[in-house]
Amino acid sequence: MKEFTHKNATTVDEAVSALQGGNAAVIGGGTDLIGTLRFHCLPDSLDPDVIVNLKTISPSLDYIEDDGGTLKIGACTRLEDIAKSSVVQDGWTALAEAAHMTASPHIRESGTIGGNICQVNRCWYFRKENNRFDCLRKGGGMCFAMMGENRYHAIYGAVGGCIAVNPSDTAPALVALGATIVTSKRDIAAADFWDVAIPGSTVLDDDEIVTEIQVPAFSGKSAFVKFALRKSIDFPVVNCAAAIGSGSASICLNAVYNKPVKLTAAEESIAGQTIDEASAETAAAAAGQGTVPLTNNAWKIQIAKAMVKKAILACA
Amino acid sequence: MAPLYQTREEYNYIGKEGVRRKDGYEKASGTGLYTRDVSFPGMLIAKPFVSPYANCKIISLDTSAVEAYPGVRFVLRYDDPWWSENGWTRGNASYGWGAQYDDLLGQEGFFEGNRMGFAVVADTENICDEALRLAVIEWDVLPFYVDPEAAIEPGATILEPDVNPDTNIRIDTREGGSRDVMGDVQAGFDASDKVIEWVWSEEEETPAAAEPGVAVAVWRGEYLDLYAHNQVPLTTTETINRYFGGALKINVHSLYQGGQFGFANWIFPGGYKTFTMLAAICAQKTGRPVKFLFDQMYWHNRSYENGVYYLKCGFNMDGTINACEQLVISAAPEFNAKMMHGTKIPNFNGMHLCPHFNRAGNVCYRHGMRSCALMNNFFAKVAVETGLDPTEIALLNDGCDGHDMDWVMENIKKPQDMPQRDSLQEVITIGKQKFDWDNRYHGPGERILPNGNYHGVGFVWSVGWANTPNQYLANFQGTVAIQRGDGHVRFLARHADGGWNHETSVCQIVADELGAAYEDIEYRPFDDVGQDAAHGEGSAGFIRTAVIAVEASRKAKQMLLERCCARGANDCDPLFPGLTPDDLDTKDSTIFEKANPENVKTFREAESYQRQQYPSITANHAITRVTWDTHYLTRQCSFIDIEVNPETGEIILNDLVDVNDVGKIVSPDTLWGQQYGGSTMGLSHNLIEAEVYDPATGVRLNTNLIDYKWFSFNDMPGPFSCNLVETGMSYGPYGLNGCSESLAATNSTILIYAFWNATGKWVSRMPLTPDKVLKALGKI
Repeated sequence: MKEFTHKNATTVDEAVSALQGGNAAVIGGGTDLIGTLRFHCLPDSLDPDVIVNLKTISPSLDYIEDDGGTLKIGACTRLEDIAKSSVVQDGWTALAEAAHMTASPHIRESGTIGGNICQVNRCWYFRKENNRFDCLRKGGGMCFAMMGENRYHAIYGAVGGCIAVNPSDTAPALVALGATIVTSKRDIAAADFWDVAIPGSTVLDDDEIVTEIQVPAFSGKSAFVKFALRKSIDFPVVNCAAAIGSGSASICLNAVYNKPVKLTAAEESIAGQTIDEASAETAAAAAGQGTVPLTNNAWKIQIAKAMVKKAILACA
Repeated sequence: MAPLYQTREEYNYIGKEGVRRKDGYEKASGTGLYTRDVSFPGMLIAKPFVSPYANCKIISLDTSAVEAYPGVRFVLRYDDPWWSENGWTRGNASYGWGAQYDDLLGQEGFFEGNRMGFAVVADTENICDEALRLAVIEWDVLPFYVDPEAAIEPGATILEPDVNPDTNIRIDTREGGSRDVMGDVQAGFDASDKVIEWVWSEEEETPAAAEPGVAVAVWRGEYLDLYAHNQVPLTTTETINRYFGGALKINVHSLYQGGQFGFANWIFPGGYKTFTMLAAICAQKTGRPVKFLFDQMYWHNRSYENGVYYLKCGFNMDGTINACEQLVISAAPEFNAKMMHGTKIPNFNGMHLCPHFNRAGNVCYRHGMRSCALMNNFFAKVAVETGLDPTEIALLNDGCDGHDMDWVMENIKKPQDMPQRDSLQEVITIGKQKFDWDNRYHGPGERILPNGNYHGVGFVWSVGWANTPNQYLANFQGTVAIQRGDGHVRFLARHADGGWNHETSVCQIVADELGAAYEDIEYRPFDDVGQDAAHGEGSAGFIRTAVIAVEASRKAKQMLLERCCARGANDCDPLFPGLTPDDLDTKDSTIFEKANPENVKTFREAESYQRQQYPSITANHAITRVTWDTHYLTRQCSFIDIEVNPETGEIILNDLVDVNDVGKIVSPDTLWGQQYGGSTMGLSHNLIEAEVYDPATGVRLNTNLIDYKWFSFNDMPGPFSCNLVETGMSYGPYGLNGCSESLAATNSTILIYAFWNATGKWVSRMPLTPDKVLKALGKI
């Protein structure tokens, strides 16, 4: 592992200042970052020289609050705490379910929601140890997955030639629930938070830190569903969150593209309708629109449809 | 030949639940010593460079920057003079199972991740990691094959022209050689109502255990102390000594390693002893203790289930199988023992074609899977073609060596004074009742559940893994010693930590046979005591270790009783004056007079009595190979209940019932652990495990436990019922045959039939991942 300087930030400003020194990264639970460093997945130039610990910031970024109907979650709040929070479970069910289905109990006890939404996109070529593949995401000349083993890759096409997927479980829930990501600089609608080309995963500047997630009050029903090969621990093959209220519907898929995918056609199809097998299936068919299956991942389109249907039915 | 040592009616420890496992405290508390925990003053760390290509050769290697990196103490290169000075040539390395030419640290890399080129010895692991990246290498990147069938297609590039300029095939038994042949296959096909042919294949798996690859070497003058993973430490001594010219005095210590048979280091010297060997060389070169690490070794030691099977079966429509023929294209040879020696199928032809291709070498992890996959295929296909209940087909074709069970009863069980029981009938009867098979079984695709899922049931059966103490390595030995001074009993023999509680079952036998309290018996297999034992009860190897434990314990007991009756120095009275050994017995670490149980002495008193006149009580027993007429008489079977979701392709495991005839139970806790663990492995094999390679580069892509999917217990179905049967129909002590990974093997392809039963679709490649299921169902 490349040697780095570890800094315990005591304030958000101090953390931002540390990031401004160049080639630095923040750490919350560390469940994504440490593995990437440990196995030399990235070229030296992309590995940080400085790691800034956010867990030492005061006042703590570890909290869950219902602020007059708006849910506020500190960026360093652990996923397990969100999953177990009755406040989240009762008012924003999809988010609690998404947190609960993330990874494994050990990782949920360490990993934070800030880390979960900021994690680097997933591709086994990109993350192969010893920086084996100099892919587009690292500034290289080609996407190895495009013509290679792409069974888990994007079904909605490439971004800048890259077909790595965003693997976050909480991301689609936040998008579906209309959340806002609060950073050290600004407020960003969740739907816009991941809207970037490679090599980034989020729109965050290099010296910008997520401090809080705000989710507006929601009076309908929401649900999160996930398809993974293992129940005990796994990234999603496809996940889906739905938030359906009176006359409105918000549906978001993830692990199918470089960012969460809002399914406008499905939302229009189900909004205001009685939720049943037929209406859910009709809406789910929209998940097939715009897909670009690769050599090995056409099965994910079928999974995506099934997940959309399941998420809608869970909101009945 | 009756079972060795008839079973007594009463035991204090054998067969009892809740016996505290011997390695439990150390493992649960974290105080257990693993090889990576070993540390010596001044010890250096070493790591090898690994090939970034699937097939390559170094044209030039510049390690000057590596050597100059602060903290680097030595760089061992493939062209170091040590190799030639010690007579090391490429020919010293060997082919392992898998036909990969696996050099210690060669100029060539035969698969991505193959250690090669050079190794760095430095002050810390991190310095090794950083220095390894500084070499400047000019490469000759060569053509490769990661698909074994592609490697043998006409016109394929020859991968090793110096080995064979004409072909990549290393083993071909189609025209003869060491293939498995019984009866007349063609005559069997001719006599059949129906003959079918099909192709079936499965992807390859990776094993993993608690501790990654490591070896520690410490030179003490002419002595070499090695700390290394092992299955049989003696073979490490033999191999390392041979490599060093036979002049070394070696002590091998095998600490906890967490499973995997010590990475099967006895199988091929070019494979797993590489770390031990490289540690020894680096320690010799630097004059300091060296710990050699290889973090990625799991991902470059393949299990060997993969293969393409060309299968042909002749059968009658009543379910009688007349002939089976198979050609398997795979790295490792096929085990056909279960089909040939555990059924009444009279005609069998098993052929093997082994290509050289650019994946890492195979080892025999889970190798029972291969033979069970073959057996399950044949029986499932006959059930599909005849429409008969698969349990009936199993019973109809049960037998030994081509003979039916009536013949076996008259010609084997009765003459050998074996229990006259029918193992398969018993395990199937129990399993059907517990599973409620008769109510759940139905025709293919006939039951759709209210949730829209297909419902299916599956059944498989197999044959006990090992039936004789002769099997495999017969040079095991061990000693039962009563410690002078405190009277506690030690079982002395190195063996590998297989991770399955095998010390406990050995100690249970010693306790009962010696008459000692279980708590007074210690088995720490770490130190080099000059003797090796096979595994304990979680392994089929227990059939061999149990012989040692019984015999050595009985000898020790006799010595103890004789000691109690012998006169002391200066002709003083014995401990039990006027009595003979026949008048005495032992219990709970005491010796007592049978006719007067109040007259009692402790082991400590007996062992310490007249200590200046008598040596300690130590009783050794070594297994010698004997020529018994042994047969596979015990059986096991499994039943599974599944659902298939037609929208996602997910297979949901609802219920599993396993029934295993282990002959005789010594430690039920150990056996259950192995049953549940094995079943988890087997179902994981059915559903998700598969290595994935990049087709363009031959680089393995899923070399971590996120991308390499593997079941944990949390992925298992419930309820989940493992059941043990004791027929005593094996040739080990008390009629035991151990248990091994048997259910991992038996269950490894249980979904072949279950999926067909659920959907009416036959799948030809495993694992049954959702993409394959959706394709079979016509969804994609």
